Amino acid sequence: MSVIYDVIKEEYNRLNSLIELYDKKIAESLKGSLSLKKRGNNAYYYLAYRENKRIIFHYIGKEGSPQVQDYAGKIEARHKYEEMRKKSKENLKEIRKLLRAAI
Amino acid sequence: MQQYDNVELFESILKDFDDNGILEDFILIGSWSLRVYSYHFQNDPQIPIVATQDLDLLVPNPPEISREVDIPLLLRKYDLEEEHSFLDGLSKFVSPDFEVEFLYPDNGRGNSKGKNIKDFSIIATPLRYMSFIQDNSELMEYKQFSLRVPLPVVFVLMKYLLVKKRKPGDAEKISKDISTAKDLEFFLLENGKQDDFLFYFKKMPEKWRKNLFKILTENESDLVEVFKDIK
Repeated sequence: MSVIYDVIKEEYNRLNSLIELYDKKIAESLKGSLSLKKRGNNAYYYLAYRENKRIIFHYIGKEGSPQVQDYAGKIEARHKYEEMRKKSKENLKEIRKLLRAAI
Repeated sequence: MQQYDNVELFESILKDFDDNGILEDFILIGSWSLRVYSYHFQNDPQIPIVATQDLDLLVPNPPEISREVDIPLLLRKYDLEEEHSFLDGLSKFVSPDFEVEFLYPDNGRGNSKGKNIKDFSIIATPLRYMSFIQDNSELMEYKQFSLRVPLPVVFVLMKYLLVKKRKPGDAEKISKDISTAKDLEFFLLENGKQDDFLFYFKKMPEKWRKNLFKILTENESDLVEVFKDIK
């Protein structure tokens, strides 16, 4: 096989491993999103997630509290992994095309 | 001539330099450093590795010469022939599939003349920002070799900064550079290197920091958040 084929194949393998790694990290990450509810002059955050077709609201804390910041950070990290996985999948699509052309 | 793929060629050149006792006289820069980082971090797939055609080796200033070696002769067995530019006196070693270039820290005075490294029979190309890489490099193990590479956080910062040196027509290369920098940056931040990024950013001259911060902002880098208070 050509040098180009080897290079593309190596990247193909790396991207597959990378997507697998992001899948694992996303599965281990906190699920759901933050939901803000206002009660009088106060605002409270809840973690909203789906469980058996039902949406569960789990109380986290007052707006600006360390607990809310902690949850927000974890959710942001999951979003980042999802974004990276999306980018890797797009790259993999391109690499597949190149791989087919190189055979 | 024996047929090599690019990785085999890279490793064979490393072996030749190592066998001649001069491998640690250079700093491996550019995309091949990523392969060394990948090996160092147990082949983590988050580190982008591409077997490019360009192998860049930095000669420190002042050069550290362990022994005299005729490098052009050594590279000739891979069909890498020296190509001279008569305009600026620079040279590199080229074959249809591969290029080896020796670089040298530019003193910042726009000196484009090549640096003659007589003991290696090579002419190294001066390039800005390289002194920072020289000062912030480390020895890493790669297979049976021990070689000097930029610190990974410094590699990321320089990758962004050097985008400024690309010609506007190099849009594809710029996009690749940014993508590589962001991937490695993400991996390093995830592995707790935030303080290291901050430390080396602070070590840079103010003008570099300003330029770098602009590039980071334009490319929505996560480092913007890390550096925003000290730019």
